[in-house]
Amino acid sequence: MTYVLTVLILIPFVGFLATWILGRTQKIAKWVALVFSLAQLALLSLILMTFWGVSSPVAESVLGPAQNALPFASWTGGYQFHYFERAGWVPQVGMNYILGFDGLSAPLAWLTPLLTTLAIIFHWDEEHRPREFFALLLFLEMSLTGVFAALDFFLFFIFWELVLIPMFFLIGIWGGPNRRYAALKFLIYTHVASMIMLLSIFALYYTSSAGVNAAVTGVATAGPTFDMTVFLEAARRHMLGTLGGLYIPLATQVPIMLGFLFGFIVKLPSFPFHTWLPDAHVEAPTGGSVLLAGVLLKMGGYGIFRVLLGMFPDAMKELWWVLAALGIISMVYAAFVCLHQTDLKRLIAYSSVGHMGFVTLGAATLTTIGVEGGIFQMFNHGLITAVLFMLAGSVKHATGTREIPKLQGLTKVMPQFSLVLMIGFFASLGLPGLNSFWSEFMVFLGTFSSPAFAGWRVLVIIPLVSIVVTAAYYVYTMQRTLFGDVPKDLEHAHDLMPWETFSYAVLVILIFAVGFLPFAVVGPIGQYVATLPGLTRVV
Amino acid sequence: MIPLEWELVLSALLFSIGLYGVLARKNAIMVLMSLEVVINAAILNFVAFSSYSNDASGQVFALLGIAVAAADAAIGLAIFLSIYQTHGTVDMDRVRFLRW
Amino acid sequence: MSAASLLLLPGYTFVWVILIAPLIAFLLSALVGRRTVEGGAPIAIGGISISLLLSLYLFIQVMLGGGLGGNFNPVFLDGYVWLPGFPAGSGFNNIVIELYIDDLSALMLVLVSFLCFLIFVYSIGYMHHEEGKPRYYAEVSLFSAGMLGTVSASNFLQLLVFWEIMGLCSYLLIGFWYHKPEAAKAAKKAFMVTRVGDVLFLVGVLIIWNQFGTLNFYGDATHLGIASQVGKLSPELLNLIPLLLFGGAVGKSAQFPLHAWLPDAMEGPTTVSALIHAATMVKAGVYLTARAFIFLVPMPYQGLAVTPPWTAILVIAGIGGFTTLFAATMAVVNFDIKRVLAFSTISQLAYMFLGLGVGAFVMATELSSGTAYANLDSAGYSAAIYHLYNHAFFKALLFLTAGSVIHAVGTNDMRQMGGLRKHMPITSITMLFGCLALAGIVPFSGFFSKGEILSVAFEAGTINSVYMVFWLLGTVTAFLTAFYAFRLWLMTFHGEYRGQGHPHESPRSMTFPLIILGAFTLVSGLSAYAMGGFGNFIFVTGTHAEYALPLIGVPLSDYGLEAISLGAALAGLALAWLVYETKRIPAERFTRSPTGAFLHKMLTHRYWIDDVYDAFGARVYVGFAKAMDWFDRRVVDGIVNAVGRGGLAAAAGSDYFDRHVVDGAVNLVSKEAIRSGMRLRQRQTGQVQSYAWVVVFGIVVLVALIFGIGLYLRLWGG
Repeated sequence: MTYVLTVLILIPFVGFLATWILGRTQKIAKWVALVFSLAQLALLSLILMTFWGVSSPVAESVLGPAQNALPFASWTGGYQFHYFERAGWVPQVGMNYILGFDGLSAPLAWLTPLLTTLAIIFHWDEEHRPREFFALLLFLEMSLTGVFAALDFFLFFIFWELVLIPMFFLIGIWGGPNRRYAALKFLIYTHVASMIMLLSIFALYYTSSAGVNAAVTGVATAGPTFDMTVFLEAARRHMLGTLGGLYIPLATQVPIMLGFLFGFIVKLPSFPFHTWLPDAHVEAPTGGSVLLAGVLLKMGGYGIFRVLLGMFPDAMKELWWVLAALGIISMVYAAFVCLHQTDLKRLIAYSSVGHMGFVTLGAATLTTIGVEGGIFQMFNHGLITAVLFMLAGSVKHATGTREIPKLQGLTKVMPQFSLVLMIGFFASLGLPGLNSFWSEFMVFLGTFSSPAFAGWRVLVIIPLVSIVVTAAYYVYTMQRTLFGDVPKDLEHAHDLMPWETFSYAVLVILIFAVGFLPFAVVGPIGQYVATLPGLTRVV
Repeated sequence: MIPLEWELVLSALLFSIGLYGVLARKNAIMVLMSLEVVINAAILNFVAFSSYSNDASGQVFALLGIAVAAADAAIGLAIFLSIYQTHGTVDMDRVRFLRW
Repeated sequence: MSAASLLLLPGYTFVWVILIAPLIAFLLSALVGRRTVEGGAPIAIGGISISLLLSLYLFIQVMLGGGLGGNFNPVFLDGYVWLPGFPAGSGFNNIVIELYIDDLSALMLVLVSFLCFLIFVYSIGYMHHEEGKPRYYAEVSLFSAGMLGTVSASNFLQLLVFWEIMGLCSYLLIGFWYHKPEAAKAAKKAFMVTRVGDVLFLVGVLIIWNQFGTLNFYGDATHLGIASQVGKLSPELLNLIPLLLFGGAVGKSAQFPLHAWLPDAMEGPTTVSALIHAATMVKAGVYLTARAFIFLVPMPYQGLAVTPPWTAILVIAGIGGFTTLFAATMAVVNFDIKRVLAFSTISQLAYMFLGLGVGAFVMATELSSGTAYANLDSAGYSAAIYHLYNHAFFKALLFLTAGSVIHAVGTNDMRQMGGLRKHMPITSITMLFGCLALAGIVPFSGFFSKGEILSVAFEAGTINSVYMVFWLLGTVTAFLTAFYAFRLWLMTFHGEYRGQGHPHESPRSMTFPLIILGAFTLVSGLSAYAMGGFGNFIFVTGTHAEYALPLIGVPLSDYGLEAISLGAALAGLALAWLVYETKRIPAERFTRSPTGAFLHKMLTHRYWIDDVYDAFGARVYVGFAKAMDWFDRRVVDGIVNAVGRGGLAAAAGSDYFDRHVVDGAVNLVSKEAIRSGMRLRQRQTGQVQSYAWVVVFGIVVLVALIFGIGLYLRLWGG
């Protein structure tokens, strides 16, 4: 299949239409949605497997041989995409339809159908407007896949904005009592950030893209372009010193990079732009939260690793400390805030802010291992936080409350739930051997070995404090909710539903598998990081 | 041959009458009819200039305009019918549920 | 594949099974445990039996392969790559899972699997009436896998991973009776306090990786190792790294100032206290510090001797020396049988750290005075590991006997025990053995190792007088140890029974491990003779360092030192006897005649020497112990609590800040937008015609403007 990525994006879109049209009853809607989501998951899993060098007859016949394509035939090295598509869109103004999958996008994109499928299964008993609910989940899946696959700034931006629409409705229709406030806040907050990002895209387009395009493609008359691969390649050659013409000068890089940075860290989110997140999460339905935290936040991180590190190496060398400071502050600050939360879901939401701090810090190290760790942390956080948000949904479902002070002794009445909660919490606090330990460890290794941090190395102690505080709030929460005697009103709480158990089982197995075999994910990520310009390879 | 100015004056009169109807009538059907008058004024202008400058494209636009006017009337009437069914009136003063 | 055919595999491949067997037992007990008898006990015991047999086989192999003569070449067992180095596939700087077999790890494997086996067997009887047995057996199986992995890891990171698995199991098992709030609290405390140590450990690992690009303790032809490159560290880092590793050890082994969790951890089942909080997990800190000897006594680098990290050595010895006495004093005033043993464990672990510290000091001194690295006197190191080995047996025994007693009388309070000797003869005798070993009475095991530690401490003291203080602390503790050990035994088994019900001897599955461990209180001490000296068996450098047999062939001064420590122990024993045994003689019998009354008075007061002792004991000594206890609860624990409260306050503050300031700014912007919107929406009447009026008006204005401007330009614009 030559257009495998297009098909990949079309599957959930067709699923969205099919669910909307066919889903007269709840049963039909959820089955149609599940089938399409599973289809995308299967296809994307095949793609991911090619990154491990696993080629099976099935994969060969479905995907064709792995392409390992260079974006332009005239290039000799650099960024390679396992799957790559290019078509003219509005070529006169440099807008093209470019899709590509490499070691950065594939693992993150894989989370999308996985978590969508599990969200559909988790909402197996959704009775409130099921047709729209499942259809919107698929629409969200489509736009998220598009964000990770798009390699043209304009296409990227369109998908980036499309994501907001289904999420706005998911929060606004199926949310909690304060859903209108939360949905509006989410939409406006992230939309403003997107606008500033759009300004940067245009600034990049008008000031520099023509020269860069000419230098990289070797065509003197090449006009301005939105093509990301051109910038990536130009930055790479610039750092290698083989770019004939000059790359974007630092004075231009810095303001453009700051605009992008703002767009990304609001999405991520990072202190002090994180307050939309707890509100959105508290109000969002479980499936929405799972996708919001599991994949949507990763768009910000993806942008940091693709755009900031890939295209603005000079500016990053100057401004790494901004990212580092934001990351470190987010980690410590969120950990302390978590300690005081009484709503389980709010606690988990704040913990996401803290864990995303590792992503920013990893990028700021400008070392190979730190960057790998940052990307890996996004993947791990996607798995873990999905479990945690599902848990918050389950406990609300079973007991009618998420207030930690009202929960007690759940081990007795909800043993399966308690087991999953423990696994999720321990994975989230970075217990060695489970998945997020590795990514946090890699980020710390990067921070410790980063030449940029020389002289600031003592600062590593601050995020280490956050590890202790993180452990504290999780263990404290477990002590209060799981242990002790069961209060009267919880005695009849039911344990997990079968479909819930299934969703948890998949994620828990993945958490353990990635914990035992982290190289399976780090391998593809490493392929991408190896081509990034301007990183220091430590020890 | 009728001078162009006469036709333009007629068109302007038609337009003004139609505009008055749109602004002043309370019954939605009357408003719609007035709207048709406004469109016809525009079509008349097209035809007038077309014959004045011997250019057939004005007449093409006139035909398009008639088609739009027909569609416009059909949709407008459908909407008013639907409003009448749900609200029991087509009085423009009472139909104010667009206001929030 | 059966265990027998595994042995046919080349090399040491079977060692993996030692780790994997309990891991499979963990999965099986968790999944199908409730279907088997005793809720998974046969599975857990089966798994650990395989580990035990294979560990013994490995041990024999290592011994035959030259372990006794010091010629055993350590073996690496490559596993798989956890994290690929950079770039992927280059094989550069991979972080791998692999096992490292040398004398120390072979010994630790046997020790751990043997104790796990005995305690699992004991659990059959002890946990018989409990609910949640599958959970229990699954967790202890996972724990044993964690401990076996810790002692066989080839590198610091793998050690940390398994170390945390143990910590997790410790957390789960302390909270085994999760419905008890104290248990839940104790579990949390244990996890949090050890976590503080773990973070220090993690920082140490980060620095090591940063400096060496490898985490292996030792290298060989195909593996990069740290030991041979330690000399390239700066002096500051050379001090810092072992201190950070020691930080982890302090948390795990409950040393001052991170000791507060261990007494509380006694909320778990007694078997757990015996296994995790006495015999194995808390020893991991000692094991780690022993592995940190590659930093404490650095190998020559590029042919030049490296300055040893004196500060780190002093801190380790100092913490050890101080904690011995500190913990022992607290043990003296406690009435909870398990807490006495917990304080005792802290104190005994501190002995091991003291031994490692002074041992490192002696070796480092020799090293800097020009002795060749291979000929260093590793007596302190050996003595500490020897004490670890002995203590594992006798402290497990003490806890298990305590468990047997608790099982019989249903309380932990020693004031409600007494006279159990008659009802529980086997428990009574085996516990006596344990107490004798703990107290360090010849020929029980504690005597040999504790005496060695103290004699090395004395030797260090002759070089640097600071270390003499540690020797003194250790000797005083030896006295206290004997005292509280026998106070415990006498209060439990002697005198009259003060509790309710009719206690009876425990079932055979419980007494059987007691008898075996009781025998080991003798065997483990004397085994050094069979080995030709314990140090012959466990050594730190690549070649064998001289270390004589206990009591035989040592310098004369050593006899004097041994006598001092034995004397201290005996004094403690005697004191316990005086205080807790004889004062229970009923007074009335002697008070019938005036002469008798006087005699009685004199005798009961033992010529009032007892009163002097008592006064001293009750006022000064118990007072001091109480003060220590108070210090422990109020100051040390108080700081922990205050930090916790401070953390909560900071959390509340940042929460307030977040809600009102950060979020407030966001809300202000949105409110302003809404307010202007409210004003503008007045204009939205919803009447299409009024909108149309506005449009027409606008057009008129626009047209007027255009004409106006045109007119203006025509008239004045030229």
